[in-house]
Amino acid sequence: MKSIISSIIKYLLIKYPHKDELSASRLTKMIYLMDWKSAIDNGTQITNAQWHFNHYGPYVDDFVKIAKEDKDISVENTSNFYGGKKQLFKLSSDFSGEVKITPEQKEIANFVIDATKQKTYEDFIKLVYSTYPVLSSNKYSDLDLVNMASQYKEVLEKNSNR
Amino acid sequence: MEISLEDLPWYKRLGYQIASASLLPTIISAIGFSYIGVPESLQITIRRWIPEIIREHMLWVCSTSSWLIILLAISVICLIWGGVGSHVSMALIKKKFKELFASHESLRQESESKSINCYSLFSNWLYSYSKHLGLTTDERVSLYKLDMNLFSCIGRYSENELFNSKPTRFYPRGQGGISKAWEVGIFEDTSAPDPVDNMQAWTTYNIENYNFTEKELSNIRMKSRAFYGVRLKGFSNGTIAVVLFESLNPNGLPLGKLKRLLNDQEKMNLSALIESLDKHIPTLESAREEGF
Repeated sequence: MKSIISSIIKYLLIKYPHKDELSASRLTKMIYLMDWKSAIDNGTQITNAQWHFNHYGPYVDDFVKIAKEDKDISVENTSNFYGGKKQLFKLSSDFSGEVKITPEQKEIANFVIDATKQKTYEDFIKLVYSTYPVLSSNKYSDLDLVNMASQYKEVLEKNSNR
Repeated sequence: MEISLEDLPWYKRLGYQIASASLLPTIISAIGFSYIGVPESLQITIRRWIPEIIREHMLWVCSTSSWLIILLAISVICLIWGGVGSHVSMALIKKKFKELFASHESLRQESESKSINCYSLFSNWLYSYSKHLGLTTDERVSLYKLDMNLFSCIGRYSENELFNSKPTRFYPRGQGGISKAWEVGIFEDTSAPDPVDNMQAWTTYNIENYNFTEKELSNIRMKSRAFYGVRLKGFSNGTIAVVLFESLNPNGLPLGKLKRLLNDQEKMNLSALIESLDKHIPTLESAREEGF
């Protein structure tokens, strides 16, 4: 699973057009969107992460750790627009360019990239906070994305029947 | 150190406290080994610094060579205590620093973000209503907005923590006091039977009047008997939200005061706030439009 997460992070780092936006927070939330999209469409998550709704939205500790441990990914300390520090994830200069992810994973990753690439950080956060698991959960609870996806589909179904 | 240890069990706290007091053992071990390491003639001179009466007593207890072994043992123990203690303290400090750094980072991110926590903002607004009306732990006020034909709670306040939590469900369009207020503008009901005396009567009343199912009613935490709901209209005269007051007691809501508080001006103020924050309020609909 570690290698899948690593590969997904690398794929996002390669394909996402605005490289200077890929902070730990944005990367983590993009993987959350991928897991949520996969739970809606396929009934399974892409990663086996146990998502947790922490103070700032869906979060998994391990992703940043896995990225930092991967020699193909480098972490650069930089400044944001307001002068504050942020950690930017980049591919190392000696990265071979090979990323092993399935076509289904690729499709979902591309979907998330397309849906978020034009968004400012605030709009991106609003999208994450508008997803059913976040809207229907309390802070500091675990997010069972697969179960929530079936609840969400019921909501959509009831809504379309009215 | 006290603050960082307070969440730990007592035995770990004690262990860390002992480990963190490693300065004295380190000094003792340094002195002990220095003594052991100096030539014997110098050891004799040092021993003479000890008052004679104490020295005599010590020699009566053990021989000089036995005291030397005891000193060696104490020095070794103190050395280990000092080394392990400082390592443990450093590890604990590193762990706490990591946690502090992570929370500092998160807080900084939040303070730099232009995102608005609308739920918290509206809940604070409702808190002012609750205070003004003198609502007790038996009452609650919630603000609902229509989202994909479902009512989504965008703010809530109750003095009772049991009823204060953000709901984790959406409320169907044609159900409950919210939908009544949505339909007729202003809605009040203080006639529900007492669920403590007769749960079945309360359940039947809600099924007949509010279109709930028995299962849904069994999941409702606040079994209210009084409602006062007000519909809020936006600038384009379309309904945008509903404010709903609830009480566990039929006479728990000060209806006269409520009507004066939620006058046209106040309704306009709250509507304007909701409309101006509309693009910041997370909605299911916006996520669905994006394919999530």
